[in-house]
Amino acid sequence: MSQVYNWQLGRKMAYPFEEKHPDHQFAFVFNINRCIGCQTCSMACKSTWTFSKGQEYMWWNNVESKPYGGYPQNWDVKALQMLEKANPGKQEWDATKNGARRPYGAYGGMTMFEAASRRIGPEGPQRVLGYLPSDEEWRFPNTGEDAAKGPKGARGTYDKQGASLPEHNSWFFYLQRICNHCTYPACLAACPRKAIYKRPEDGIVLIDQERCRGYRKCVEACPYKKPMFRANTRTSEKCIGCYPRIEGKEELSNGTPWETRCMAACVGKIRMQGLVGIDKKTGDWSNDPQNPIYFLVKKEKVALPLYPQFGTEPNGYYIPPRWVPRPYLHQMFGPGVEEAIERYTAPSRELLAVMQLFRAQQAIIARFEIKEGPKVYETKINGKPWALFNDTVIGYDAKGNELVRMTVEEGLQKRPAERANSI
Amino acid sequence: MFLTFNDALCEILVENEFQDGLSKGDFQLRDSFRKQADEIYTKVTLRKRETSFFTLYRRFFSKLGYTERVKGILEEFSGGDGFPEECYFARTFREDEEGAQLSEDGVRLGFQIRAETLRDPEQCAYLLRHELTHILDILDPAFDYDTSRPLSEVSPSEESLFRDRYRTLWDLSIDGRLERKGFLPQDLKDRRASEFRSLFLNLGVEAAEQVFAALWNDRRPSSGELRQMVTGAVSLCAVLNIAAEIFGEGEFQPTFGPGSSCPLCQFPTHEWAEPTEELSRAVNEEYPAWEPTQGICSQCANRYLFTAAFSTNSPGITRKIIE
Ligand code: SF4
Ligand code: SF4
Ligand code: SF4
Ligand SMILES: [Zn+2]
Ligand SMILES: [Zn+2]
Repeated sequence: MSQVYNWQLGRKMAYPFEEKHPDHQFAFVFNINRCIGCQTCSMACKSTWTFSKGQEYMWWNNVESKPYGGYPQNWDVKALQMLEKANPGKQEWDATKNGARRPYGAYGGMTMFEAASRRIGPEGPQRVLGYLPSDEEWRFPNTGEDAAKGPKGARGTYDKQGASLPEHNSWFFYLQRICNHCTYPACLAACPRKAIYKRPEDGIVLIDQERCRGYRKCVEACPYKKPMFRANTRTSEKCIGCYPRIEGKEELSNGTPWETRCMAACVGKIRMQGLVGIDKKTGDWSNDPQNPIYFLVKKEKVALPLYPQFGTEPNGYYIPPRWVPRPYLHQMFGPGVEEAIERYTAPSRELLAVMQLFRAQQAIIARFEIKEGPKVYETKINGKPWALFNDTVIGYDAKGNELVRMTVEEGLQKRPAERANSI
Repeated sequence: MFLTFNDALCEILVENEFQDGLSKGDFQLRDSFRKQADEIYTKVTLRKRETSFFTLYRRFFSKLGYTERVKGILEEFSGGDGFPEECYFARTFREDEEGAQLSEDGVRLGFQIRAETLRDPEQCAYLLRHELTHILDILDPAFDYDTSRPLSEVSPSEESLFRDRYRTLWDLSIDGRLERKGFLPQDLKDRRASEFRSLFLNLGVEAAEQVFAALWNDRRPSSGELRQMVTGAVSLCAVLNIAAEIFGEGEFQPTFGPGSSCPLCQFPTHEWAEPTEELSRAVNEEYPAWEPTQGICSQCANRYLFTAAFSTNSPGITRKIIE
């Protein structure tokens, strides 16, 4: 195995292939706090890509209720348990060791790649620690929906006491999931046929349907369980990052790269997707604080990777839900949770402006600019003074064309008298 | 006898055998499959790929002896008149959905079976023998099987309780017969006993033991007798000539706990309602056989109280609910 640098873990790690990076990387931010669990995203993907025979149980995009939901069932619990079994009690972070190339500190535990050598399967050591979900585990995509976590040890009850932030006693939240188009894809690492590749232009990870022989090694290896087996073609399929849209081939877009279907359809306006530039030498994101994704992940650090400890360097980032007990969130998003929640709760002027860009239109925003406006409101958040400014944020595409212009305060539309009674 | 198996069922069993082989260091079976599968990917059109795979899996399934195993047991039962000529095995994921059914014209037999069951020779043999004994009973004119009328004349929820009882009482007699032939897996007798107890909660302990022994050891009830027996503890004892010993209301501590099924709606519940007199009256209006000792979930309780509140028969309840 070679050694590659994983900035989310703040260290090098073992990976079956040499370190190699695309020009740009497909990445996205989901704001968990705003999701209403409507599954419009799931339907947008399904009605575009997975509506055919053999794809009935295939949800490239799914939204599951945590802590009990999961598609396939218990995928994350199982993966975490496997890591624990391989390396008991040591999946820990040293958050004090942070710096420019290790924003969350250093991970001292094992990744799915590292732990694999300790698990000797029938065909020798696995390349990636993993398991193949049974048919049963794929059967109920939305199991556990809206089931809240109650008091410990008391099944089927919920805490009758009301609770206020920062942590609720009874809680659940929606977790939106698509393929993370990982920097170090486990699916790709595991495929004995070399049927999986990462596109050099945008880092989107695809399965070559001609090469695939249905061995399901990718299904077994992906810790997020995002490749899915299709019974009638006898091949595995996965989220394709809506690459025709990213390439500007959506018919209505006039050549402008558009965000994916699941992003564009989001009713709760929780999703933003884009491309970040990659420094080919270091593999780091090129410094680009005016790119909204870069801004949210690297500058404001308000959005965090999902289970970074798996080691694939996933490119999906989440603004963690404010009301959920912290140990649960630490396990899911790593040590950045406190800071992310703090910054989201009392957002900076810039952050508040950038949040207005979520789902304001369909095209990929490559750059934003803020024009300052007047102070319109003052209050205290967590004992500290906080002010709201009615700034204007402008989004541009990669060619510098203006895509959208939003103000922090929502505009008020006054209905003209002659339409007073119409809808 | 003509046998067919669901394709997904064949596939999963064959795949499991590959895994078993691999874990013993035996790659031969899996590799010979892959070689043939490769041919399908390269030489067969995409359109025909799925059916070609099914054929391949079926071939391995038979080669591994599954068909023979099932056939052997079916042949123990298939000598007599009217026994179906065709048998289909469908896949289910739930244990409580496993079973056999005869087509309306009686020429086909359908099984629902889990992959785990088919994989385990002992469990599979038991399930098949148990279900085939049901089928032989059904085919026997003396049993007088009749599905033309519902078991309850009163309500669907009572029908569902009666069905559970019908099935369980019949199962006692079937498993008793299997035990005498040495075909009963361990622990099953205890499980059947507790199933039986949970369906007749107000039957005294001694009477319950006698009923169980009668059905288990020496009595194959007819369908008509089963229909009578399901209606309650009194008629159960009467049909079997056993002195009835029935607990009244309040004497018997029910055993329903969190997560067990409500006898009325069949949904598992964590909230059992307090059975008040008003509630009993409200439920009994639609469901005379229900007794408070059987328990009722709070959802059902609300539903019956509301219905009663709006019917003219029980004045007085409305106000209480609204308060
Ligand atoms: S999420 Fe899974 S399927 Fe997607 S790139 Fe990462 S490892 Fe591969
Ligand atoms: S990016 Fe496209 S293919 Fe992937 S989940 Fe979203 S809609 Fe589906
Ligand atoms: S469309 Fe948006 S709000 Fe609705 S479930 Fe999907 S992510 Fe959540
Ligand atoms: Zn039975
Ligand atoms: Zn009920």
